[in-house]
Amino acid sequence: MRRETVSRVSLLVPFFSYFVLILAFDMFLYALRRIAVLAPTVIIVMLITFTLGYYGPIDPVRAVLGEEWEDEARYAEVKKALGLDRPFVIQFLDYMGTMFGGHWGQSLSAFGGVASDRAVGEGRGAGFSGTSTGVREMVLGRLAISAQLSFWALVFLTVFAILLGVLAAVKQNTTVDYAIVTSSIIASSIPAYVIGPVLLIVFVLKIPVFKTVGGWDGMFSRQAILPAIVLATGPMLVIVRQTRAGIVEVLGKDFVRTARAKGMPERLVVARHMLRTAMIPVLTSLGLVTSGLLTGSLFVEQIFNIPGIGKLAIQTLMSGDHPVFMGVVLFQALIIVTVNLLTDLLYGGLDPRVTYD
Amino acid sequence: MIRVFLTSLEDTRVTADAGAQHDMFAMPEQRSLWQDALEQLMRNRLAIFGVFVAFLLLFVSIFGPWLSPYDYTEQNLFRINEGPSIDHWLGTDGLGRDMLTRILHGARTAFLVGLIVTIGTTVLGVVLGAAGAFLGGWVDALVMRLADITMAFPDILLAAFISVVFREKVLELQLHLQEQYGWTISEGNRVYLDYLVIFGSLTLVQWYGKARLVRGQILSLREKEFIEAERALGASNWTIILSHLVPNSLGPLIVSITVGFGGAMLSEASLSFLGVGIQPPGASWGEMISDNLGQWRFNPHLVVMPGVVLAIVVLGFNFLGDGLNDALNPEQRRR
Repeated sequence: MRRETVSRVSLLVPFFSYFVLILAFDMFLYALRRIAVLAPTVIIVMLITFTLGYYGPIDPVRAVLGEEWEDEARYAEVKKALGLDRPFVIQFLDYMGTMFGGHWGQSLSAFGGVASDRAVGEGRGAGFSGTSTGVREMVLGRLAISAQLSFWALVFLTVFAILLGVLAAVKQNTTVDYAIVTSSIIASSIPAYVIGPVLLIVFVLKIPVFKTVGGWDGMFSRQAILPAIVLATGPMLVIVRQTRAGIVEVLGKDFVRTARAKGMPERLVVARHMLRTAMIPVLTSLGLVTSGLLTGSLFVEQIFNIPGIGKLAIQTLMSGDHPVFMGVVLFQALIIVTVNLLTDLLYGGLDPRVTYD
Repeated sequence: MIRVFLTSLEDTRVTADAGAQHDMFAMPEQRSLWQDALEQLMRNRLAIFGVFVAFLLLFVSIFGPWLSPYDYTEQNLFRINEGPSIDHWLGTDGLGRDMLTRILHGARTAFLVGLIVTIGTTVLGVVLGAAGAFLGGWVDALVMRLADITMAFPDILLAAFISVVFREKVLELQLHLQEQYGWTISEGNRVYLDYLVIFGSLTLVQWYGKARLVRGQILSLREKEFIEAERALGASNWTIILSHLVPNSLGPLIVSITVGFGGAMLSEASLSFLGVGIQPPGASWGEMISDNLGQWRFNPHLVVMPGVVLAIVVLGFNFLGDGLNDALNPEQRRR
C-alpha cells in the first residue's frame, strides 16, 4: 500500500518538475529582460546625480582648501589632483568606472577635510570622523546601523500591523475596523519629525520610561526602541490596508468554508489558510515599505541623532561632500530598484496565475 | 347619502390612482455622478473634517498675518522661550518671536507651496501623460522611462539635492541680472528664493504620479465599449475627448490632486526640517520644528505646536482625499 503511494508520487515528480522548470525559465527570461531595462535606468540615475553634483553649489576645491583657496597655484594643483580640470564627459565616464568598479571614490575629507564651517548641527564633523574616507566604507558602515534600526521597525510592523490588519478584516465594518483603519491613517500621515518629538516628550518627560535617548548604542540597547517605533509608523498604513484587503478577499472563499466545516478553530483558519493567501498583496507592497523606511530614516536619525545612512546623507549634503552624498543617493536608488524587481519576481513565484510576458 | 358615498369612492379612486402613478410610472429621481459624489462626501464625517481644514487653511493663509499684532520676524530678546500668555497666545521661540504669528505665516507658506506645486505637477503630468497615451511610440516610451527614473530616486533626497543646486544657480542668475540690467528683484530678503527653489524641485520630483494616472486612464478608457459605440456613430476625436475621456478621468485626477496637495505641503515641511527648504527668517512649520528641536526637553510646546498644526493639516487633506476617492470612484469603494 505504502509502496504504491510512493511510486505514484515519484511518477508525478518529472511531470511537476517540467512545469517548475518552465516557470523558472519564464521567470529567468523575465528577470533578464527587467535587468536589461534596469541597466540604462541606473546609468541615467547616475548621470543625473553626477550632473547635480557637477553643477553643485559647493566647489570641491574650495571645500578642500578652506581658507587657502585664493592662492591660484594651490587651487590649480588641487583641482588637478581631484581630476576636476578634465571635461564633463571624461569625468562622468571616470565616475561610472569607479562606481561599477566597486570602489565608489573618495570622500572630500580624504584631501584635507571639508570646509568645517559648512558642517551643521550637533553632528558637526561626525560624518568625516570615521577611520575610512572611502565612500563605499562610509556608506556601508552607516547602512549597517540603519539596517539594524529598520530590522526592528520591520519586526514591529509584522507583529502589530499584520495583527491589526487581520483584526480589522475579521471585524469588517464594525467600530473596531474603523478605529484600526483610521488610527493607522493617522499614524502614517503624521511625519516622523512630529511623532518622534511627541514620543520623546511623552516617554521621557511625562512618563520617564527611557532615561537616555539619542545616539546609537547597538541594536539591543533601549535607545533603539523609540526610533524603531517611529520608523515603523510610516509604512504601517500600507501593511494594515493590504492585510485587511487580502483577508477580506478570502473571507467567503470555499477553502475557508471547508476549513471551518471540518471543525477547525477560527484562530487556525485565519492563521493557516487565510493569512497565507492574504500575504501575497502584502509582499507586493514591500517596495513601498522599503522606500518608506529609507525616507523615514532621514528624519528618525536626525531626531534621535543616530549615525545611520540618513544622517550621513544630510550631513554630506550640507557640508558639500558630494562624492559621499552622490554615493548615498545612488545606493538608495539601487535598493529601491532592486526591491521593486524582487517584488515583481516574488509576486509571480507566489501567485501561479501571474505569467511573465 | 348616495352623494357622499360617491364622492368618497371618487376620492379613493383618485388617491389610488395617484399612488399607482407615483409608484409605477414616476421616473426614478435622477442624480448625476457629481450630485451623488457630493452626497457621499457629506455623509463622510472625516471628509467633512478635511473640507473644514482646507477652508481654514485657505482663510488663514490669506488673512492670517493681519490677525496678529506681531511681525513674523520681529524679535524680542527679553522674552525668549516663553509659555503661552495673554501677550503671546502660543508663547515665543528662542529669539522671542511670537509662535502664533509664525504658525500663521507658516500656513501661508504651506498653502502657497501646495497650490503652486499642485498646479505644476498637474499641468506637467496631464500634458506628459496625455502625450504618451495619444502619441504612443517613442514619446510614450520616453515619458514612461522618465517616470521610472524619477521613481527610482528616493524622492526627498532628490528634491533636497535639486534645491541645493538650484538655489545657488538662481542666486547667480539674480546677481547677473542685477549687474547687467540693474534689475533688483528683492533687496536683502531671500525668502522668495526659497519659495522658487521649493516649487521647482518638488514639481520635478512629484509629477510622475499624475502622468502615469492620466496615461493609464486614457489607455483603459479608449478600449471601453461606449467609446467604441461613439466612434461607430461618427463622433470626432475631440468630441470623444471632451465629452467622454475628460469627464471620466476627472474623478481619479481630482483625488490625486487633493492627495498631492497635502503631499506637497508635507514635502515642503520635510525639506525645511532637513534645512534645505525655507531658511530661518522665513516661516515654515517644518523649519520651526527643526529650529526648536533642541528645546524639546525644556520647552516642549515649541516643538509640539507647529507639529500638531502640520499633522492636522496633512491629516485633513488625507481624509479629504480618501472621502473623495470613495465618492468619485464608486467602483473602487472600499468596504
